[in-house]
Amino acid sequence: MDEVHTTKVVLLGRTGSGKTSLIVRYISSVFSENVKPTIGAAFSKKTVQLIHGEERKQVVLAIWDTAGDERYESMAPLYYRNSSAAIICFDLADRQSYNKVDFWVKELVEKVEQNCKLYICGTKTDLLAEYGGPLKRAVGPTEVMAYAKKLNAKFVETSSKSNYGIDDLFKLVAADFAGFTLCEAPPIEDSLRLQEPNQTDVNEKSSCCF
Amino acid sequence: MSDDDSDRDDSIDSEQMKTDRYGFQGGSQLENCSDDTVVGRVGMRRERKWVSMTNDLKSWKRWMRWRHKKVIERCRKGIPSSVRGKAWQFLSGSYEIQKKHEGEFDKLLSQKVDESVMRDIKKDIGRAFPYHEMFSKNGGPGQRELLRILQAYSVHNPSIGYCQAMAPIGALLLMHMTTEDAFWCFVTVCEKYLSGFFSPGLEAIQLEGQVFYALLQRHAPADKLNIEPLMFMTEWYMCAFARTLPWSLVLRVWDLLFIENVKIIHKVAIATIKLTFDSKEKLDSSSSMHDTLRRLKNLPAEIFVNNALLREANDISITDKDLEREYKAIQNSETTIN
Repeated sequence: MDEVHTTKVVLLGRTGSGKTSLIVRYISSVFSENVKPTIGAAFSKKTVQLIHGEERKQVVLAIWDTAGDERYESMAPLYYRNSSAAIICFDLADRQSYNKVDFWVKELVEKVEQNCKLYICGTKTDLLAEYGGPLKRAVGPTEVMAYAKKLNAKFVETSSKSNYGIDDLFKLVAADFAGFTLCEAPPIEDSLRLQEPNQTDVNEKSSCCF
Repeated sequence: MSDDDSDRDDSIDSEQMKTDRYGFQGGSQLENCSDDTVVGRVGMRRERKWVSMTNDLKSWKRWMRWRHKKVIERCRKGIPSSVRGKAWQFLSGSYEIQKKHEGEFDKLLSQKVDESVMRDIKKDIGRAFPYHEMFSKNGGPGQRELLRILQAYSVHNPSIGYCQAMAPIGALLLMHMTTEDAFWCFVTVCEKYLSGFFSPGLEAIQLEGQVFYALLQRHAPADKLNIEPLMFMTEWYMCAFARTLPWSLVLRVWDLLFIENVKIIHKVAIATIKLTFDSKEKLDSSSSMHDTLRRLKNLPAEIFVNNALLREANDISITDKDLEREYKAIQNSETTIN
């Protein structure tokens, strides 16, 4: 019998930063251009199996999606309390969206009592010119990385449309929680993908609601 | 509980695009089964009654004044779709408000709008009902008119501005009336029926959460719910179920919203909990918080069969006095804590 651990993960970020799309892609493996804005919050879960040599662990990710509309901020503590990981999303092509990241970081640092690991997630790489998209990066990767380093946070980039980096992100969250070391995230200039070491095998089964 | 992971809301089969009787082409609110719309002689009789009631404002006022109970009874049976738009305008009083403010809508639209509000609105108009034929096309007439309603409202009431739950409501009204009619009806919804729900801080919705919990304890065994209501009820209340239920049922709930106000939302919410966690077996399978949330998101189809949910809701008695008592009790407990 594998050891089973459950951990709460919350997604935060400005409206339209792609939180719901990220979760829908991860849980249901689909992408839709027009995802309805989240009202209040939504919950889903997925089980990640981590195998590292002899050691096996199952991590159940209890994922809370939150509303990006600033109006819901007063209710946010209800959804992020007791989280052991927070994924703070921003749209890579939208400076305003990035500016909101710091708001959530400060809020979590101030209000979450236990150790909550921070992940800063730049979304929608498919829209960037360097990936053949129409838009320019609104914020340079060096700036985000310096910021993330200061916070001891991890920085990843994803695209829900092209399914880029998403499984890796949640694997990383699960592995960090279980105390497994996946191959450290390589510097973003080298590769935006997280490399998975050969000896660590990750299987997933999922279940979703919301 | 199966570990099936499909997100029903986002499935659309573009090759076999069908449009249901309400204009939905996909998504979770597409009506696959036959609904309970009354047709034939009974349907025509009901329609005639409603046409006569809503013929002009004078006769409507007579009905509301002298035969109010009859109007409620008729709302409970469902307003025929052909007169629904007009009936909602009469019930909400928006028809009269609009008459008093002729030309105001255009004036509001000519005024300057807060830039960030406008940006948020534009981001959302395509996301209100992405699978409805009126609103699915980017830049199409449905999205344009919805934009006008939300823009005008943000100027009309800048202290509220725009909140994300508003777009589905504006869209719902636009499916039944012209833009200007829908705007004034929207004003009454925001200010009379879902009053305070969209204000910054969302205190009203948090208060309703407490009221709902108290009412639930009166009307259904409390041990059935192992989670904080705000974990699931926010969307139910803020959109008055417009994003939650099968569409034929959404319309029936809205027929009653205009006459029962927030009471109908409480009733439907309680009935949903009651029916979803009805039997011992269902209760056991929802022992964890996660399972409870999952069940409440993917509501079991059987609670809609033969209009079970609405019948259950209508059997629940909640009066204005009951609500007042709950509001007071909450206020008192808060002052004690403070």
